[in-house]
Amino acid sequence: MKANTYLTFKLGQELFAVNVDNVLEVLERQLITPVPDAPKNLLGIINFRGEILPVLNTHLKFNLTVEDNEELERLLIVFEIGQDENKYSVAATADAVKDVIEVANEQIKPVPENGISYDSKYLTGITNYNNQFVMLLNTIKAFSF
Amino acid sequence: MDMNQLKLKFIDEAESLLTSLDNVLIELEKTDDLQNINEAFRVMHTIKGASGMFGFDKIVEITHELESIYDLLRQKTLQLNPSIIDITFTAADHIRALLIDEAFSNENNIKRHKLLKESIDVVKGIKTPESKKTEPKTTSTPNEIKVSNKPTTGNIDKKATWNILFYPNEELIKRCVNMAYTFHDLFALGEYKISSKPFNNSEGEFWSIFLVTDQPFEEIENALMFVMDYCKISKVADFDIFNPTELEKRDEQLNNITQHIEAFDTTDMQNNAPNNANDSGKELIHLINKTNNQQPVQMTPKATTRINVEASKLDTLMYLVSELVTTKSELLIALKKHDEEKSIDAAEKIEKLSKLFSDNALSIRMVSLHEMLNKFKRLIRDLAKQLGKQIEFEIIGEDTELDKNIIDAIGEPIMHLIRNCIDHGIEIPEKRIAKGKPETGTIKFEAQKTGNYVYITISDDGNGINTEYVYNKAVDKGFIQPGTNLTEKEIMDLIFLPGFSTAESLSNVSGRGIGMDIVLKRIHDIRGEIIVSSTKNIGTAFTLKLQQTVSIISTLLVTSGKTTYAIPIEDIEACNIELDENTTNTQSKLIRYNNELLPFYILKGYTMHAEDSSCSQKLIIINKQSKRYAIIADTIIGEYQAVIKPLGKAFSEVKHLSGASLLGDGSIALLLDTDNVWFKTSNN
Repeated sequence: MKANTYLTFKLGQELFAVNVDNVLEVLERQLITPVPDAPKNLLGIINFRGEILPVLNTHLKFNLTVEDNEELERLLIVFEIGQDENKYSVAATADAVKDVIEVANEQIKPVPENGISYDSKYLTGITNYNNQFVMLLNTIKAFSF
Repeated sequence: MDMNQLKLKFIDEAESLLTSLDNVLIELEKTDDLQNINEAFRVMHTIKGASGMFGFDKIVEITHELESIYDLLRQKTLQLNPSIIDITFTAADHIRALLIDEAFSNENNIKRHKLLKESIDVVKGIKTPESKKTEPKTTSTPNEIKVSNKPTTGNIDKKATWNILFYPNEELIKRCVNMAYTFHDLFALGEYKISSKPFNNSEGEFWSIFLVTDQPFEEIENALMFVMDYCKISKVADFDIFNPTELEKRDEQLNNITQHIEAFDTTDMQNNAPNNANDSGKELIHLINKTNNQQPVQMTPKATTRINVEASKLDTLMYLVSELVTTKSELLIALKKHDEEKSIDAAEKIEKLSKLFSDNALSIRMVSLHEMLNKFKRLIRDLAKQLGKQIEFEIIGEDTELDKNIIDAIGEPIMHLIRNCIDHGIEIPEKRIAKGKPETGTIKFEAQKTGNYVYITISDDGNGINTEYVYNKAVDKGFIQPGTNLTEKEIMDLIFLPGFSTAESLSNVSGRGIGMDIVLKRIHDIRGEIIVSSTKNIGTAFTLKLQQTVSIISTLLVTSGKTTYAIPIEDIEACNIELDENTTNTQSKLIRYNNELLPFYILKGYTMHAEDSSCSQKLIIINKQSKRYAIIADTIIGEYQAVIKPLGKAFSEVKHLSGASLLGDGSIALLLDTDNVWFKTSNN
């Protein structure tokens, strides 16, 4: 039985999960430099280990309503995506980081065609963890530009 | 041990050897010079030896044949002629192709291989038909041993046979030992036989080399100086074991070593034999086909990621590192003792060191134009020949250094400019004579460093740009209205427009592939400029103005709201001008500056809270390639040496920014792209 390890995090009311292989670091209260005239779903840039990374407004990208207390708990998850020469890093907003979980491939169910508010192409599947639906993210599709 | 890594290194080395061969051949084409013939022989010999080690049997075949031609040339039994040079050029290209076609599966390569061998035979046949027979035949099956026919010198009686077992490992690659040269030195000592595939034993993979030489052990040691740690050398016999008559004479002594030789001669039989790893006497039998069964690794040609660095620069680096380590301890001790004065001293020293470190790092990245130009020499020779033109390539200032990134970026655009010179610039000899010019055209490459810039001029003494023709073409293509008044210079700049190609018919030399607009874009990408000048029937010159390095630039930091911007200082004509109500002309959307009216751009900034907007704003006057405009900012902070980082493709649509730089306090300044801000100014 093949299983992968995922990091789960909250965005609005939803629970998402990404393969831990794609996660570099979780940052708190990072100074974000806004870039005037940048695409709407980019909050700006940050200095991450001496490199400049774009910050993706995940809420906007996934069409999620932003909570009132937006300023309170703004976390950034730094993702590393792609391989070799095409490798790049991106930071994305999250409301809270939850667990690290094991999900067997058999436990992953296909994404329902309708009934979700955001583009289903960003997801690889859905799984059930502790009686909660967890959306597995396709990092390459969700965080590419 | 990763053999593939070692192999890639060999390919790298072989390629640079081939480039040097090209240049030797270009020289030989001009004058028949013994030194150059020797050099060509040496290159062939070196490639032959090393490619044998990595199983490039077809390369061994070709280099061996060529080597014998050049040997005849050396001995003056054969006279150098143009067809030999042409064959060698073709062979050099063939070897290049074989380096990436290890399996010898490409049909073109197979065809070319056959043709090449035939033409070599013809060349050799001219002079020495009987020598062909006496020549030892090189074999091509993977497991057989290659025999060099290098003439050995000295008294035959003094010869000894040595066995060298060579165990390479990762460390060797890290040490950047040039294997081809190392083994060339070894092979120069005498006659050699080398296993074509690495063997395997408990200590790892190794090559076995038999060397017959009259030189003492010290010479072998010298040749292998850099790889001695990886070699096991043993004397096999006091005579040439590969010479049959010698063998007979020394029958008795031979008994000790027959086992070794048999291991080589009976390879094919051993293929099916069981593998007796513990039998020490049969150690050499391990050349069994095991390695053969492995899939050949497909290699794709890669851009060189290695750079050659002057040793003195590395010495400086070592010196700086040792200084840093001592200063760091000084600082730690001072801090522990709460000695403020000493702490400050040490901190200041570290600051100075960091500046030296950055200078050193940049200088290490500096590469001379040498290698790039070497590649051009061959290209020019080929193109000229193809188009029936006579061209002399003149180089001035090839030692000029530029950042590796810039060298990589300008290679293709410069190649294109040179192609244009050959194709459209230089006339065919008859035309040149008719015009009263020397028969041979000249393409000049001049590089020169001035301040922080490097100027590269590519010029020819050919046709010059036909401005009338360019003008009409631009009208035809709808780039300009008929009757538009343009200066000569403005007309010449039209050739940089996308979709503008002046070649009357598409040739495969230029006029297809990248156009002048792409050349311009590539140069702009690295913050460079192109200036074109031309006189009809005198010639054309393209001058590139390039920064020596792109990664650190002098900037002026300004702010707008909470956002900090960096503006390249070289683009700034004036700054710190107070903006008052009289200077703005709201109707014409222009700004008054020294009795001139200029378009302007207001820097956008993020403000967290509504700030007092009445605070006086500042004007910065930009002058970039005769485009002049004003930038309006809130405050001017001052000069800053910015280390530029890319913004990444997420911001590819944000054209007015070309990067970002980290500031001392951890915040980020955005680098303005002064070219593209122009398109956002008030009058555009």
